[in-house]
Amino acid sequence: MLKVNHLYKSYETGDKSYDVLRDVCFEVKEGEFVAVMGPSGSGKTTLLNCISCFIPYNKGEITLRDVRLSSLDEKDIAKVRNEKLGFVFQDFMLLDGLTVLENVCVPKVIRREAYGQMEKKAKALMNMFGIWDIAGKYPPEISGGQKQRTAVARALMNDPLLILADEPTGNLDSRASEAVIGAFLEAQKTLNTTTFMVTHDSFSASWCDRVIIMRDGRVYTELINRGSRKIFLEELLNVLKVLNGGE
Amino acid sequence: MTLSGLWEKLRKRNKKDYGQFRFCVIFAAALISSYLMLIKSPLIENALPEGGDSGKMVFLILGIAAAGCVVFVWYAAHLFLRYKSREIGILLALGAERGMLRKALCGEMIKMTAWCAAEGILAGAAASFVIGKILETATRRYQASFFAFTLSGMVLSLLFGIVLVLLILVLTAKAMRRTNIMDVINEQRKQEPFRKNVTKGYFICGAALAAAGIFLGYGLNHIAVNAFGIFLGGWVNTFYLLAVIGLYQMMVYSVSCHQKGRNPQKYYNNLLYYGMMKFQGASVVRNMLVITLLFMGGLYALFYMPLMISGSVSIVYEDEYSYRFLNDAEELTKMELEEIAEETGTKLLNYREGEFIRVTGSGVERDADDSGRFIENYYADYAEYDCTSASQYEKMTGIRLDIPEGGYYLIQLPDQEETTWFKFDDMDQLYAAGEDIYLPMKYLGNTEYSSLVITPDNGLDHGSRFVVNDRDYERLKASLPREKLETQVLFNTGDGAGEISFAKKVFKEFVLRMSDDMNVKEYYNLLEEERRGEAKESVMKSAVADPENPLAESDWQYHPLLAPLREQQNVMGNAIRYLLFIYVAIICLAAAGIIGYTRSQSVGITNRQFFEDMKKLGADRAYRKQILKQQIGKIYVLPAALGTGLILGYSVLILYMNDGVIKPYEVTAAGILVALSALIGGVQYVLYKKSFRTVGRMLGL
Repeated sequence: MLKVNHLYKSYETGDKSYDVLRDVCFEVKEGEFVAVMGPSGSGKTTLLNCISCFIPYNKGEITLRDVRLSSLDEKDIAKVRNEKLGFVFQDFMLLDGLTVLENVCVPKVIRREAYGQMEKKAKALMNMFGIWDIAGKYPPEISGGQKQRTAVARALMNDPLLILADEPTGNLDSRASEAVIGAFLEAQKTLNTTTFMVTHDSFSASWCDRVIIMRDGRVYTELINRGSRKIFLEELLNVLKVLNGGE
Repeated sequence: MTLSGLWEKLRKRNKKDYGQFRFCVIFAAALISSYLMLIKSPLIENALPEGGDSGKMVFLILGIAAAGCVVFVWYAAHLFLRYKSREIGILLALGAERGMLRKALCGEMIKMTAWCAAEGILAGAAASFVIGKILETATRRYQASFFAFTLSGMVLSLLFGIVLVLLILVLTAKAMRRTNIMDVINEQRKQEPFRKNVTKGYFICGAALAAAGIFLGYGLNHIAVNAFGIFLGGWVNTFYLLAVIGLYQMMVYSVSCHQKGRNPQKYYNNLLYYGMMKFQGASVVRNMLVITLLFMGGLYALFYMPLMISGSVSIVYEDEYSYRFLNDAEELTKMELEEIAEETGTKLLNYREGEFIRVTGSGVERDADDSGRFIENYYADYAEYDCTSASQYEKMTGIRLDIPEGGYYLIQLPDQEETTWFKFDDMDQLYAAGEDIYLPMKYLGNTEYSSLVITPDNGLDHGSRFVVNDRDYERLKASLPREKLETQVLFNTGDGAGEISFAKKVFKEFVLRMSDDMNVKEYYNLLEEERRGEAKESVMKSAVADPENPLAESDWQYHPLLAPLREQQNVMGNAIRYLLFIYVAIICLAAAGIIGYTRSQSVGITNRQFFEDMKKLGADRAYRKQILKQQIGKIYVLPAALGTGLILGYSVLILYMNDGVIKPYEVTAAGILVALSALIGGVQYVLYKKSFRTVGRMLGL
């Protein structure tokens, strides 16, 4: 589904160059829920932005179901973002001037789909995530958890190949975080959605099938959830402890 | 639901942001179009001579006003696009095509700006109509023109509207060109930190640059001329740029330098405030500098009126009517004047005639050559001067002068000073045509009689009028042809409603009856023309004097002093100037206010997260409010204080430099300036409070 091969990315500041991603390689399979973790500055968000085509990369290749993203022009990239990818951001990125329902509909509005079909799909997703009763409210009037579930519903509107989530629980309390992760899992179960999530939160990551750990712009290690979430969480915490200079 | 429907909905929800932008465009278009429609109306156009200084000043002011309006529209558009960038970024992230969004945004902005410009032009037309009619009514006694809309006024207003649309189009297209979506989304949170650390040395350097800039810009020419005889030219004004750079450096220091020093408690009290400033300091200082300069421009324009009034109250004319004519002209006789007076319901009082002669004399031409060197050239035949005898002078003025042979007095206004370009004793010989010899002459002093100072350059240079000994006068007059003899007429009129009509009729007759030799421009000098072999363009013959329009400013060398008309001419001319300067003041101060207001909102947008974090860290509402107050206060207080202080100081300097002392009426003028500054300071305070409340609400304080 998603292949990242020998990816390099650096930032220029004045006459200095900082390597943020160095030879990053991994693969995400269809229907998989994968998290990326690592200390601050390890390149997680940059990696996500490269996959999202928000920023260009220097070297390497990203392939989404056999389509090389670097070969696409601006128009095709927009189409990929709209039809093949779904986005969930840490600070929700909802349009304050639109209702919850309208926000969920935006990806289909961009695609110029018929109104009836659009609303039907939105209603189904919003029911799935328990936000249909706030359909007419505006983002400033709802809670953080509701906002993020709205964002997840929006991300699923066009049945994307891949959902990219950047710290989706970063601004939420534990209850709301659980609800959002629950929404991802529900989407995985009922829609076979593939999700690629950047997070700092070990608890959220422990629900994933696999966690890629990054350090200094490289893939440090990968951990696979073999069924027991409790054991997986412990493994995760141990690796992170080592990464953060512990035993 | 379609994208345009969605766009429309976003517009409705964000109507406050739209409203703010719309207000700025409407305001700018209204100000400029009302100005254009006024200055292009016959009411103002007929009052200003074609190619005259006043006309040039009007267009200079227009340039300043248009630049001021463009600046604040630019700021408003910039802020609006910052608000809009988040929506654009989200839509781009969700897969909207950039081209589609660009088209939608540019289309919306063009449509909105065009509508607002049209609304502004209509509002401007209404404003110009009201102001024009008020001006017309207030000056009805003094002029015959009416306010009317003209095609040129409307076309120019439309052109300004088009300029605004193009400006917005360029800004929008530029904003949509950014490719990094994260940058677009995070535009509102963009930080602009200073690139270098600032030390006390940086501040000292700024202060030194500011002082050097003012000193060099203001005084370098003066020093060069006096010490080395070199006039360096207008380019020395570019030294003022040093002052602007210095001002910038001092502002940078004021917002970024924060050291423990001798008061560590103060250091910690202001820790957060300076910390925030460091990350948005570059744009804050740029804004502060622009606000300071706009403040200075606005206050200078506002101060123009009191400064002009203080400078113009000193001339008191002994006789209300004074004119001179060459004797080959068939000008009005005393009897004809009495007839006009009777027709118009007034009467002639204290009528006197005196004789002057036009005599060739020496003089000094002072100028700067192409290389900027100050040059002084003495010419034996410099100009034809007006000369009268001591007895004729006494007959005209009642002033008795004891003048020995070879001596002369210069007729001047009271308390006149010599200038770099003209000295009182420049003339040292006069040509006696009958004897074909030059009589050496010695300057004895000035004799003051304002009503006789009706020649160019306030009676200096080739406009000088001399009083000589009676015997010398007879020698100089011998063999002079009739056209070199001049009659000077002085009189008053009795009080009555008819004196304006009387003055107008006298003016008309005077213009119609002038001889060819009298039809010359103010700066025309026959001998200079002969010396150079050709006339300079600016001193060509054929003056502008419209017999039907005595109130229009004219550049006629023989323009009569008709005090009732001059008073009205001053009223009209000053009304126009004051009006125009008030326009500039409004534009500059409005621009400063709008930039301050928009910057305050940027402070709120950029620091939203900071205030949230402070709340999480336990800072109470009062503390957070205090920090916000400091941030917004910086934008309003320092530029206002600097702008007001500098321009007040400069204005007082002008009052002092006029004559080296501060006279009572100048103290009054200075008082008015201080009162005006306080008034503008009050307006600025109201804006500050409003900004503080708005941003406070935005941050939930």
